[in-house]
Amino acid sequence: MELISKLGINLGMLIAQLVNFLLLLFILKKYVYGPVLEKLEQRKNMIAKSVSDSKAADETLRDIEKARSEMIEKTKSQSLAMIEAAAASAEEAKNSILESSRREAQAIFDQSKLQIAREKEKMLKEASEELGRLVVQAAEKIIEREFTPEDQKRLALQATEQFSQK
Amino acid sequence: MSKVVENIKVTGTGAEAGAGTGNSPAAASSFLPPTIYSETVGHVGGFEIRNTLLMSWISVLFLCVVAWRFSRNYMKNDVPSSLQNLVEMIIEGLYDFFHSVTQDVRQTKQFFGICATIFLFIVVSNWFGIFPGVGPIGVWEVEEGHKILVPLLRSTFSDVNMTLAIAFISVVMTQVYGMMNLKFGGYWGKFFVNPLRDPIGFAVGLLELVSEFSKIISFSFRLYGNIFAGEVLLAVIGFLAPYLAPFPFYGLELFVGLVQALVFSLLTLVFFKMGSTGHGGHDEVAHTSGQKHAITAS
Repeated sequence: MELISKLGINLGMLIAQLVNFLLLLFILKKYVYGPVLEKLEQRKNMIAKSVSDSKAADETLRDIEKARSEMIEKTKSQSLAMIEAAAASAEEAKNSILESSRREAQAIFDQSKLQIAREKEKMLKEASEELGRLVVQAAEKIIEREFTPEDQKRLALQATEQFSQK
Repeated sequence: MSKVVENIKVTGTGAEAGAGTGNSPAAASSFLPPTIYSETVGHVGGFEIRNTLLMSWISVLFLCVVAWRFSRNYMKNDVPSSLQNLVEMIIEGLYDFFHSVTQDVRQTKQFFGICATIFLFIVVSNWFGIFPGVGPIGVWEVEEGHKILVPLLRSTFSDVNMTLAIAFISVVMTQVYGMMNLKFGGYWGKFFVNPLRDPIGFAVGLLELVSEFSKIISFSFRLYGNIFAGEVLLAVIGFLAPYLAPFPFYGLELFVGLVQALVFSLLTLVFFKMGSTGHGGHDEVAHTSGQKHAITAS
């Protein structure tokens, strides 16, 4: 008891200090510990979410990159195929045009040839007729008589045959 | 009240005040160390107000004001202010530190409030106790024929009443958390063993029970002894060489104040943890007692 008295131990002071401490505990818990721990938890969740979002974004980016390169590859192969098809089609068109031109030229050539032959035949016919007539006239002048139509026909025919043979 | 104001004197240094010297010519030549008990500075009704209790109220008020300033717009603001940053850093640091001891999120959350409050209250009170003006400002009184200076304010934990109250809370809450985590029978079963089945366990249980409540004494006198010794040290150094010489000792007292706060809160945490661990968790108990011994040794 002497020690208690010397140290000044007093129940009122003890209770006052207990009340002080409990009051401080209540206030700090309500205004500091609770909000800080809640905010730290929120921040932790936010960071975790950001990390997972960033991972998801990375994956999406990777997918997009993959899709883009696939699309480029596909487009490249498609364009190559189109170029090849166009070249083939152009070649075919060229061949067809050439063939048709060649055929047309041949037709024109055949036609001209035919016409020349006809002209030649006609000319020869006219020339032989003229020749027959000239032969008859010359013979008439030589023998100084007129031929009958039968003679004239025969002479003209002979002259034409000889002309044709030559 | 006017008599008190009339009697208020301010001495040259805290050491002189602690020594009860200062302006009193009679006391100037003699050194009177700080008393081992706190002094009554007034009464409210029948309740006596002591200088250490006043200091305790100032510390509580300071922490409450900081808490109030901190909590304003804290949850709304995404960018914290300087004070909010500082408080956040302290709380997060304490939380991580306590968690490294408990290794259990649920228990860390359960014990955090009391342990952190003990730490903050003790560290703030200890540091306030070495502020200029704490000690030198007081009232001259005549006691046993000697004129002595009764300081208006004195370091809170240089009064054994204050340390006893915190130690009492620590030990009582150890029992409460023990019963909450191990159930009533599980917790008290550690102390009360059937003597017919296990006589040695019975004796050990009783010793453990005694040691459980003797913690109040070891807790309170450790803190009281350190802080009171600090006061005496500063008083002696201030008496021998009042200028410049006490300066390094103020630094030492700042450090002692922090370490004592840390030791008190950490021991409380370790006791909470040990009290909440049953007989099955021997490894865990051994681990935490290892930490306890390390702290005690330091």
